[in-house]
Parts: sequence; C-alpha cells; structure tokens
Amino acid sequence: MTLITETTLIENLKSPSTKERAFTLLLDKYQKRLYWHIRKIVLVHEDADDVLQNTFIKVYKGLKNFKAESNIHTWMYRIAYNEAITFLRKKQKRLQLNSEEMNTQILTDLKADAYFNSDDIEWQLQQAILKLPEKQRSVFQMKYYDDLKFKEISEILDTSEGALKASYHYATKKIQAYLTQ
Amino acid sequence: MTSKNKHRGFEVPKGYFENNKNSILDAIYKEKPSEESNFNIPEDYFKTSKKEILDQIEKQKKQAPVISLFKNRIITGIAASVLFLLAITFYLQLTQDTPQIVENTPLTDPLLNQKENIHHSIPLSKKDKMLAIFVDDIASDELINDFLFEEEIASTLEEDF
Repeated sequence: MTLITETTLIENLKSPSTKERAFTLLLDKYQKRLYWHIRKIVLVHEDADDVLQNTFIKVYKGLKNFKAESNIHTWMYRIAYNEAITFLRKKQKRLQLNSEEMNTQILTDLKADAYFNSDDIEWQLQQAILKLPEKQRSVFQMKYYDDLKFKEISEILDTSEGALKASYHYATKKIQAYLTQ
Repeated sequence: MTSKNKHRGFEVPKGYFENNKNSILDAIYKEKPSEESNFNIPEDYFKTSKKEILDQIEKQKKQAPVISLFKNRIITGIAASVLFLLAITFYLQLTQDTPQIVENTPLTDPLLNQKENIHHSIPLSKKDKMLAIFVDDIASDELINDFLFEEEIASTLEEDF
C-alpha cells in the first residue's frame, strides 16, 4: 500500500460515512497477515482465532485515536503482538505455570491441534523457538515469518534497531545450534 | 522463503478467512455504539447508565410497597349490600309462596306427609326461618330422615317393652 492510498484509507476510516467500507477493506488486506503473525506466537489455531478477533475489535475502537505517526499496518501489528502476548500471559496465570512449564504446555497444545501437521522439521523449529527468551523469540518470528523490517519491528516492540539486530543474531545462532545438535 | 514454506505444518480450516471476516465484522458491529448513524453517546455511558439503573432498582426495593385498602372496601361493601338485598328478596318470596305450594301439592307419600307434619308441628322462630333460607335442601332432608328413623326406633322399642 503506498503512502497516498494509506492516507486516504485512514481518512476514510475516520469519517463516519465511509468508516464501515474502509474497515472492510482494511480487514481484507490485513486479516491473513495478522492471523499468521498471531498464530506463530500462540501456535494453536483456536487461540489465534480469538486473538485475531480481539485485535480487530481493538483496531476498530482505536481508529479515532490513531495518529498517522506510524504506518497503519505497523500500528496493527503492534496491537496484534500485544494481544497475543497478553493472551499467553493470562493463560499462564490461569494454569498457574512457570515459564518452562508454559512452554511445555504450548507444545502439548500444538501437538493436539487439529490444524497442525507434526512435520518433524517444523516441530523441532518450534521447540527451538520456544527455548528463546521472549524478546529474541519475537524478533526472530517477526523477521523470519513476517518479513518485517528492523525499523518496523522496532516500532512494534518499542526497542532500538541496534538491540533488535543483536537479538536476532543471537536467536539465529541458538536455533542453528539446537537444530544441529 | 515462499509463503507456503513459511507456514509449513500450520493449517487453517477450509474457508476460514472468508468466514472469519464476517464474524469479525459481526463482532465489531454488534457491540459498537450508534456513532455511525451520527448519534453519539457520552464516553463510558453504558457503564455509568448500568450502575444508575441498578442503583434505582435497589432504591425501589428498599421502599415498602403501599397497598390501597380503600378500593377493596368499596367493592366488599357493594357486594355485601347486593347479597343482603338478594337474601331479603328471596326470604320474602319464600314466606309468601311456600304455604300455597304445600297446599296445592297432593301428598300421597306417607313419609312426605310425615315430613310435612314435622315442618308444621315444630314452631319456628323468625330467626330460625331466616336461617332456613341458607340451609341446603338435601342437608335438611337428611336431618329429617335421621330424626324420623330415630323416632321409629324409639316407638319400636316402646312397643317391644
């Protein structure tokens, strides 16, 4: 989406007469991308479905306060990321698990998910990703799966680009080491 | 990396994105306020209005209910008056008509004759006559039959001894 069309879209989203139509366009354009972004964080389809819905509800409600200081898609990614992380934290609290137990729980849920084919390579990759600290995991997922630029990731995670590059570097090294051991 | 390889192993239900779009829109438009139709509401209106409604309900619960007895008194009074008039009318008709009916009716049944004799032989006060209006005929007959039966037993016993 070019800057001009994005500006027009934002204007349409803020105008009561064009809001619904513009929002449907926004949904068409970003639904899949946000779904996969969320899915790679929460892993299970059903959870991703819940988080995606909450994300779009928050996007819709937040449109009136959205200031075009960042791209709308970066802003939406940020909402989606926060929703997914909040979802996992709530789940961990509800199940009264520590971080390690929670990772085991996520993998157990993933294996039981009807919408996950337990491909050996993918399974090992998910195990390796879950062993990373939260920030390294997030950077790796956004770079590897979402193809986001470091600048965009820095806006989403509110971290400097330099720190993100370092985190990504460590993350890839750890994953390589895990997969080749 | 191609998009397919990126999501290797992960699947979604068939037609998920098409259907999900509608469910997201439904979820949003179901709970949105009516701002799209240019009717705005104050911020947090529903939160505060809900509290106000609940407070009002609680307040009304605390007030004791007031039941007006005046209306019921009037109805009861009217009903009592009508009943009294009916009773008087019925009593007057009975006191005027009954002797004629008795006189004109041929009594062939000795038991009925006996009953009639009892009616005429027992002197009734005005109060008894008033009360008689409210006595059921069947109950009255049963009482008379019992009385006659006892009389017959007594006379039989007298004859035997």
